[in-house]
Amino acid sequence: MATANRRVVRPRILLFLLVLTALTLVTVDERANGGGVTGSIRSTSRDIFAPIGDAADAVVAPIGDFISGIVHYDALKKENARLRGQLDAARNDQLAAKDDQRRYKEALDLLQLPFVGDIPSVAAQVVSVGNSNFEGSVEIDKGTDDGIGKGMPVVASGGLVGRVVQVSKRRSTIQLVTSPDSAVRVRFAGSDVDAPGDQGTAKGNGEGNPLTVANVDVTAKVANGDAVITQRGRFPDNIPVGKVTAVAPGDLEQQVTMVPAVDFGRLDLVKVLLWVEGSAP
Amino acid sequence: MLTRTRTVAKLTAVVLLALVLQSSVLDALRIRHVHPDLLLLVSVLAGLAGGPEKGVLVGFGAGLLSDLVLTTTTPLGLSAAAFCIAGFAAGLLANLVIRTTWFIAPLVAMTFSAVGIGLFAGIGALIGQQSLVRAHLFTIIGVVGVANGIMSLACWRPIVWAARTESPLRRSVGIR
Repeated sequence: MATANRRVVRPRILLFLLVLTALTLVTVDERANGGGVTGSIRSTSRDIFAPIGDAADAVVAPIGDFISGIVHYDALKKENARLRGQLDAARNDQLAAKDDQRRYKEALDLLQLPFVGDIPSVAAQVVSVGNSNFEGSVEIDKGTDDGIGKGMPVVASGGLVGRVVQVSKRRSTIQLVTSPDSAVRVRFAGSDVDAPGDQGTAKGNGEGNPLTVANVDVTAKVANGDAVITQRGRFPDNIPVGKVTAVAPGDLEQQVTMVPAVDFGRLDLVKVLLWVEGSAP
Repeated sequence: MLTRTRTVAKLTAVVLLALVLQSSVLDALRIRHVHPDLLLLVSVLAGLAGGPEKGVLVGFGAGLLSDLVLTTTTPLGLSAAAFCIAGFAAGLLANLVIRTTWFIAPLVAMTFSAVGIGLFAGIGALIGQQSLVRAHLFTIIGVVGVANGIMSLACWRPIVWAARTESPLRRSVGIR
C-alpha cells in the first residue's frame, strides 16, 4: 500500500519541483533579457554543440536532402520546368537584358540607394535554418571572435535579412525580418526622408508570409510596387527591405502589405554589418 | 542501483541522439514551414514506456536541451516546463490503458505532442511572449502532432529499450 502510494505521489512531487525549476529559469532569463548567467550558459552550450552539429550535418546531409526531395518532389518538378522555361527566355533576351541592366543601374544611382556603403562588414554562411517552429531565425558560422555583436544588421544581396539577436564565440543567431517578433522602421523609396507620414513599421508574420507595414499615415503616398527601405534607427538608412504588394485604405492608417527583398528559401551567404544603433547612418 | 544507472545512461543517449537528429535531419523535413519535434516526441514516449516519473525527468532534460541549443528568442526553461508536463501526462495515461491495440503509442504520441506544443505557446503567452499565440499555431500543432505520431512507430522500440520498464502499455502493445 505504501509502495503504491509512493508510485503515485513521487511523480507528482517531481513534476511540481521540475516545473517550478523551469519557471524559475524562465523568470531569470526574461529579467536578464537574454544576457546574464542564462545567456552565458546558452552561448557556451551552442559553442559546445556547434562542432557536433557540423559533423552531424556533414554525415546526414544526403539523408536530409533525400527526405526534402521526397516531401517537396512535386514542387521541385514544377520549379525545374519553370527554370528551364526561364533559361530559354533568358537566352533569347540576352542582348536586351544588357541594356536593361545599364538602365537599371542608372535608375538605382538616381534613387541614391547606397545600401551598404562604407560600413565595415563580415561575410558569413548560414549553417542552420530555424530549429524552432516558433522562431523565424537562422544561425551563421561567425560570432564574437569575428567582431559580431548583438543587434547588428544582417544583409544579403537582395537586401535586409534581419539582425543579430544572440551571439556566442563562433555562432550568431539572426532574427529574420519575417519573424513575428521583428519590427523594422521603414519608409517608401522616393519619399522625403524627413516626412513622418511616409514612414511605417514593417512587421513579420512568419516564414513564407508577406510582411505588414503598420502605422502608415492615411496621407502617405504609397502605391503597389513601391520599394520599401529602412529608416534610420535600429538599422542604417536605405537598405532595401522589400516591395509593396497591396495597399488598402483605412480610417486611421493605410493597410500596407509587402514581400521581402530577400529570398529566404535560398539564404546561404550573408553579410553582418559591424554597425550599432546610434552610429552614423 | 546499477540498473538505474544503466537506464539513466540509455535515456541520456537517446535524448542526445534525438537532439543531433533534430538539428541536422529533421530541419529539412518541413510541411507548411513546420518541422517535427523529436525531443518532444522522446519526452512523451518516455512517459508512455516508463511511467510518469520517467516522462517528467526526460521531458525536463530534453526541453532544457532544446532551450539551450535549438531556441534563441524564447526564454530558457519554457520547453522544459512544457515537455515535462506532456511527458507526465502521457505517463499517467499509460497506467490507465487496459486494452491491447497497436495504435495506442502513435495515437498518444500525436495527442500529447499537440498538447506539448499548446503548452509551450500557452505558458509563453502567460509570461509575455504574445507572438507565440497566433494563427500559425494551429498549423504547428497539427503538423507536429501528425508527424510525431508517424515517427513514434520508428521511435517506440528504442525508447522502450532505454526506459526498460514493465509498464502496462509496454505489455499491451506486445513489446517483449
